[in-house]
Parts: sequence; structure tokens; C-alpha cells
Amino acid sequence: MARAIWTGVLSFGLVSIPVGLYTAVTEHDVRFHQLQAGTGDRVRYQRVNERTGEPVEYSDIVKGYDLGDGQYVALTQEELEQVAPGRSRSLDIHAFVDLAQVDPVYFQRSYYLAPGTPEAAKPYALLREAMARTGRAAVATFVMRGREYLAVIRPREDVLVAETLYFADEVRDPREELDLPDVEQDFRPGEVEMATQLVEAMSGPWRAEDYRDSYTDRVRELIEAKSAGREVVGQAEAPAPTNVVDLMSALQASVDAARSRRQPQDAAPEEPAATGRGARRGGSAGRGGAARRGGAAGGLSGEPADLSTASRQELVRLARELDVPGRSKMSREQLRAAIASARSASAPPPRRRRRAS
Amino acid sequence: MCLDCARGQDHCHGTLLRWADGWVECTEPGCLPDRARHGWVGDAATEF
Repeated sequence: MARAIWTGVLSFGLVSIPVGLYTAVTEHDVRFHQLQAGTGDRVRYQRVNERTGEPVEYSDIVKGYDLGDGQYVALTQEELEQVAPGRSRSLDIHAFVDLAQVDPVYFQRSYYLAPGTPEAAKPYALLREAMARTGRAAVATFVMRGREYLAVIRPREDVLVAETLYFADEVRDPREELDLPDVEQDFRPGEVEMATQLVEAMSGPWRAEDYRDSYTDRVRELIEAKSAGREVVGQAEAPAPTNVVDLMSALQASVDAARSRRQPQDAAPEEPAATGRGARRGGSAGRGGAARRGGAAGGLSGEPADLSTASRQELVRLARELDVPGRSKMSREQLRAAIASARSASAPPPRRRRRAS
Repeated sequence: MCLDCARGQDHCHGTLLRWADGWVECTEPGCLPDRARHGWVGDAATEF
């Protein structure tokens, strides 16, 4: 059972609902330890007293504000809580807004908000239902670990999700930070239309599971190869930037490539017996089509496919089509085995040869 | 006694280090580098 990172009451109007805030996301980075180069010695951070050099326990550390000349104002956790009594226990809703109005640049991190007590379940569900019906998200603030947070709370299926937001002064102005080109550019005839066609040709529905952190996969492969003493082969280099002179031809070639990738399966006739398990075709047209379709692992039409050369993304696609459970967390090897197993399980029994009469 | 420990909340006693290039790491190995779970945050570029 997950532990809440914050507990308190969600307040709107005169209604107060005990709630807990839970981390909604995790990160799948490869976790490294710090080693001193050339040795197997672990490197660690340690809090030490600068004067004595002795380690200091977490519970013995207070916050010190530097006044200069070696003078500090020391503040305890309890004193900081007393600055705004109750604020650290209350998630105050200030307004309800259209979530689409919130620029994604403000989004920080997602948390699930759950009822804190059995009695809170009904008002929690009521608030969630009212927000779902109105299509509104709540703007709220709360104090946690010495910092005030701004958040929007929105319904997502059965749960309320709190997205913490940056405050307006925390978002950098790109015009001050970057050397941006003039908005007004002289495009050659057809360039905007061609670029628009490319966008359209690569358009499709958003499906989070279609995307995979292939860099982390490569890092894991590198670790496996090094631990097994195998040779490590580098990836192909990134493509060179497009020459501005060739922009039009590069766009045209990209549109042609995007269309040809989607052409074969879009045009393919439906299989008459394609129902149920493993019957779904390779997704709808659009972005990711190149990755999802017609790769080394083959399509769904049952032709023999070389799984050994298929990318993980292709394997995940095949696994999805075959309804392989737990596919999103499988390694390439596990995917290959699961796909082979699912294929053999769904394959029709071998036909008996008719004897020549 | 840490207030977050007293409340039984999920939190970390490490220090979240923010590097100038945006990289964030915690001094506790294996910790999820989420600001909200940390009472101590430091800008590595200026404080360390």
C-alpha cells in the first residue's frame, strides 16, 4: 500500500474532505551508484559539521538563513509550520477553471488524491462527479515541507489527480532567455503547405504506450554486454541537420516516406477470420506508423517474422496485438518468448495431408 | 523528531541537488528526485 507524501483536508466552500496525496509517477532510469574511477569504491554524500568534521544526524539539522559575516538565523521545522498555522494541513480550492486554459509549461508533477477516511469517500466522489460533469479543474494551494504549492485538481476516471504547477514567476520568458529567429519569415511558395502535409501525414491518436525510452533500453543492453564481456556496438549517428536550401526536397521526401509507410496496411484487405484474440490490426494511421508498422517483426497477417531483429517497439506492438499480458514491462528477450508462445497458442492445429488417391 | 516521520508520510531525508543544467539528484541513492518528498533542496551550482 502506498504511503501518502502529504495528508490534510481538501477545502472548497464550507466542505472539508480528508485526503492524502500520493505519487502518481515513477521514473525508469537505470540507477547508478557513484564510484571513484579506477576503483570499485562507492562514493557517498554525508552531512558533516564543518568545524568538527563529525557526521550530523538528520534530526539534529535545522535551517539557517545567512545574515552574512558568519551570522545565521536558525529555524526549526516547527517554527516554519507556525508561520502559517493550518496551511500545511489544508488544500484550499480557490476557483474552478477550464484545464485547457492552463499552458502545459506550468505543469510540474502528478499526484493522486485519495480520500483520507472512509467517511470522506462520498464527498470525494461528489466533488469528482461535479468536476467531471462541468469539465472543470480546481485551482488549489497548499503548503508542504516548507514550500507553498499551486496545483490544479482534475478528475481522471475514478480518482482525482493533482498536478502541481509552477508559479508564474518561475516560468522563464523565452524572449529573454533565447536568441529566437524573427516570427516573420519569408517562406518560399509551397513550403508551408508541404510542411503542413507532413504534419498531417504523421498525425494520429495519442497513445502513451506507443512510446518507449529506447535510450534506457540501450543503456541496459550496454550494461549486460559489458558485464558479459561482449563487444559494445555503437548506435547509428543522428541525422545531419537539413540544409535550408534543400528544405523543400527534404519535406517532399518526408511526406512521401510517411505516406508510403502507411500505404501497405491501409490498403490491405481485412482478413475474414480476423476476430477476437490477436485480431486487432496495427493501430490507426499516423505518427509512430513507421515504428509501429511493417518492421522486421512483420505485420499481423501471420506471415513468418524474424523476431530476432525486431526492435523492442515492434515487439511491443506485436505483443499488444496478441494481447500478451505485462508486455509493457518486458525486456526484448521476454517479449520474443511471449510472442512466440502466444503465436503458437493461437495457431490453428496443423492440417493433415490428404493422401493422394 | 522529524514531523514527516511523526505523521507517517512518505518523504526523504536526503538533500535534493539541483544542478545548473536542470539535472536533479538526491543524495540518497535510489531516491525518486521529487521536490515534494524532500525537506532539503540545494542548488549545486551555488551551494556545493
